[in-house]
Amino acid sequence: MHRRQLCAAFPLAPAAGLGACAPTAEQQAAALSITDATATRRAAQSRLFDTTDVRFLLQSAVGVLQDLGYTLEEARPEIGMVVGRRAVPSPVRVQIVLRRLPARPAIVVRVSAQAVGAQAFGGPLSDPALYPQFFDRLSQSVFLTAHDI
Amino acid sequence: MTSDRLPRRAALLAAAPALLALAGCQWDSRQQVPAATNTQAAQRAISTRVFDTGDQGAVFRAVLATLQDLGFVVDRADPALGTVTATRFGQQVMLLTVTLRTPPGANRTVVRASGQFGLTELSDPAPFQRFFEGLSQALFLQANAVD
Repeated sequence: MHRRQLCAAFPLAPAAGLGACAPTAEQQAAALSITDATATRRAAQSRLFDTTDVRFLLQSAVGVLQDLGYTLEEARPEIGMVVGRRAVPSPVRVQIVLRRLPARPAIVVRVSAQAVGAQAFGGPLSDPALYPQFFDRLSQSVFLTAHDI
Repeated sequence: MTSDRLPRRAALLAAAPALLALAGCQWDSRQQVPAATNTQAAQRAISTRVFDTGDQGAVFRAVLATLQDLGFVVDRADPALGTVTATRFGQQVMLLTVTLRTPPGANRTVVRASGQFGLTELSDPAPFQRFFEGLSQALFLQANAVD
């Protein structure tokens, strides 16, 4: 049985301290590589908003997280970033980053999400249908927040 | 195989996990805490790049974008100090800390990464090389190796 098959058969082996399943340099490098899918995923995760008010848009984004029952893990308004976490129905973390465009009065909002868990239960959530729902809610939140709702 | 040998073999098999656990108790902090694969200088050389910009804020935003590109979510970020720690879950959990330092008055930003993949520290040049390639793309700047 090859090492990879062994690791698949005994996924808890690394936790037991068995060094045989330590990732190779190639596996480590692959984990930090930008791929052809990256640009597509980035586009799906990003949406342009015609405003220059980073603070207001970030408050609206926090409003969406609250609408969905997330709690904040990290909030850094100086860099336009918030991270939220929700435990049910399955553990998920969501990161929202806002970036002012230098050439026009607009802000790019990028949202990414990951399932929290070991092995196959965790990882980046890359379903492109996930993100339009979030941006629809953010648009709604901008309206509601502007009206103090 | 005789039947009276079976219980002994079963007992040995049952004892194996306990022996493994006992092995874990033999933990010498003087060896374990400072354990490292590379020398200090070698580890810094492979994990550090210098970017020709003094705009630490721009590099910080590019680091965030690169981490998002790679599927990480930030655990902690301190733009004043210039540090980000992020996690990616999956087959093996990956933890990464990226630090930024712009020497006063200098037109360069020193970026350093460190982390672990599963239970293995990042000590090979390849993963750092790939990370800095991604960061260079995000910054449109060349990553220069440290002297």
